[in-house]
Amino acid sequence: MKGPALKNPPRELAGMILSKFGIYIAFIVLCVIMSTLSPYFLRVKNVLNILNQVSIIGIIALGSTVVLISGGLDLSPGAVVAVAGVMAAHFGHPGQYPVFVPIVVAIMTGMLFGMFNGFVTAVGGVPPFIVTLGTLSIGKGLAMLACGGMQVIDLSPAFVSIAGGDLFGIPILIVLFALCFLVLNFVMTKMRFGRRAYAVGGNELSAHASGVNVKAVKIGIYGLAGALSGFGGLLLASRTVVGSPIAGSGYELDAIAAAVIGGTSTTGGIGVLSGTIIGALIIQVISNGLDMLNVASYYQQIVKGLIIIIAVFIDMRSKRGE
Amino acid sequence: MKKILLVAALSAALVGTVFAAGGKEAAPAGKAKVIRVGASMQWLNDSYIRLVTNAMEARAKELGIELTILDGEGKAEKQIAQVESLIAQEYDVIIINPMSLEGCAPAIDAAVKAGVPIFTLVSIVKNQEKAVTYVGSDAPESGKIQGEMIVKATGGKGNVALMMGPIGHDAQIGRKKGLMDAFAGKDYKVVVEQTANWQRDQGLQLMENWLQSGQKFDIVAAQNDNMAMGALMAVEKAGLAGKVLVFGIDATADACVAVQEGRLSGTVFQDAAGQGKKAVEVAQQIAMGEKVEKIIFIPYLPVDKSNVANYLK
Repeated sequence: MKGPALKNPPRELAGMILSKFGIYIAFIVLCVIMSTLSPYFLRVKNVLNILNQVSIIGIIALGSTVVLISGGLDLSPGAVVAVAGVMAAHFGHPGQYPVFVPIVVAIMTGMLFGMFNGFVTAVGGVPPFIVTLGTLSIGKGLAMLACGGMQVIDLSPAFVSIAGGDLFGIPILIVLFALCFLVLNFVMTKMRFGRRAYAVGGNELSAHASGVNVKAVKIGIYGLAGALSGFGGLLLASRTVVGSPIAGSGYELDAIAAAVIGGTSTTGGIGVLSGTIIGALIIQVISNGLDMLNVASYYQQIVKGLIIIIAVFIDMRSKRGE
Repeated sequence: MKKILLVAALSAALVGTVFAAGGKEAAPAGKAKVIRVGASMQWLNDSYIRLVTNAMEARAKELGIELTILDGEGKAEKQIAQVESLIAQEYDVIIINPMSLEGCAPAIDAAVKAGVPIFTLVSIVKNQEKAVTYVGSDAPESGKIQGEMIVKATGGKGNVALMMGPIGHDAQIGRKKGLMDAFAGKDYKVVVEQTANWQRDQGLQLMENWLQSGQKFDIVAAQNDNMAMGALMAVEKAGLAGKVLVFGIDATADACVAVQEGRLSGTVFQDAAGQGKKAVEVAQQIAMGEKVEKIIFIPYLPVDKSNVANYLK
């Protein structure tokens, strides 16, 4: 079975490799650049640092990814992280509650927020950009209310160890990130719920026509993303040993950037979670590398923005070639 | 019928509003007019600023002053808008806690132009001479005290990692200047400097990265306690407690505990409550036509293991 002759075999091959592995190649190139600029970049301790630092934003980005896949958008993670962190800290003082209580409180807080987002957009018909922009603002206010403007301190050693411990020498945050990825990946690829989310994101009308309960899927997806943001908020509170009402500020943008760099489409229906991990790593490597090279933070902002644009541009061009 | 009801309802609302407004204006004979003070604070989600505003509210209540506190949300242009709004609402005295040395200057100009007395609180502006006064602490003083504590603890030499607040903030500029003044003539080198925006998680992450970067330092001067606590955690996790000394500024509750435990090497007490209380008192003086000093400094105080017990709540 002979197809049409390839016009320019090497070019076509390069195109195929780039479209499938483009983001991984970009990541490797970035790491190579960083390691030539600083001999300390590839040291084990630094690599572990990067993985540790990317875990919290990575978990949140996984949530943003599934929302994008379902055709939605979530701008609220920054605020959910703050509220969940403050709420969890309230239940994390020494000698009061067993340590699972703040964990559950944080996840439930996030899930409620998410389900509210999903409900208002799915049932109320309000565009997700607007809803989640609203809950972003509401959440920030609620976080402040929940602690009277003063960050919550005096947390138990058990609470601190949630994000601070390690498992056989591997920092626990990395383990948790990996677990979240595995579970979420299973949900999105092997479970009907996940496949329905892709369908809704790809074409909402035909998904509905083929019997998918679009509203339920949306509420479920936003709830899932909210739960992940809430979990992220708990981990951040544990890592910084404080429940801060201004934690997580701006996280939603990094989360979406990670997803988009990783190949998730902003219009829905397309995206893989492993891509988001690479996207998050790219952002984190830039931050870590430039800190180590003592580059001022405003240059870091510029570099981050440029990389996001370039990565998405490359991704779009390679997809168009298919 | 519907139209008549609508007109009647609107008229009632209008009349009601006039009465309500009129009622407020017409003070019963013999009662002095209440002094109205409006304050634009750089942001209300900062624990330190919260301490200041709590003290302001308490003092205003004691003195019978009507105090309105507004959240500038960290944006100079928002603070300018708030000051303009306070002017339009004919407040007697305006207080501004400016986010930016340069960016908030137009707010002072606006108030001066409208003839409304305005003064700065906790941080200053570029056109400070146009404001009636400044109530607060002298940012360079806190940096200098921190520097002197460092000199005392390390004997005149060392490599310093400087963790700063938002670039352009009066405290960031002032505290760095004060620190450098304390280091003058001594053998200190600032090996790295970067902002962590007053935030704990940014301080933690920045210090983690610095510790991996191969740059050698044995002192961390953080411009506020939040960042210092974040940096401290990274230092301790890397097993460098005692080898890298961490200093902060603010003397927040958990920083004082850390000083007592010997983890944090020192911090600087900024009298938030004193500043807030004084601000309201000064506002009252201005409203009553009294002259006030051009600068009203509330002193900073060093806090280390020897005296931290005084500062623990």
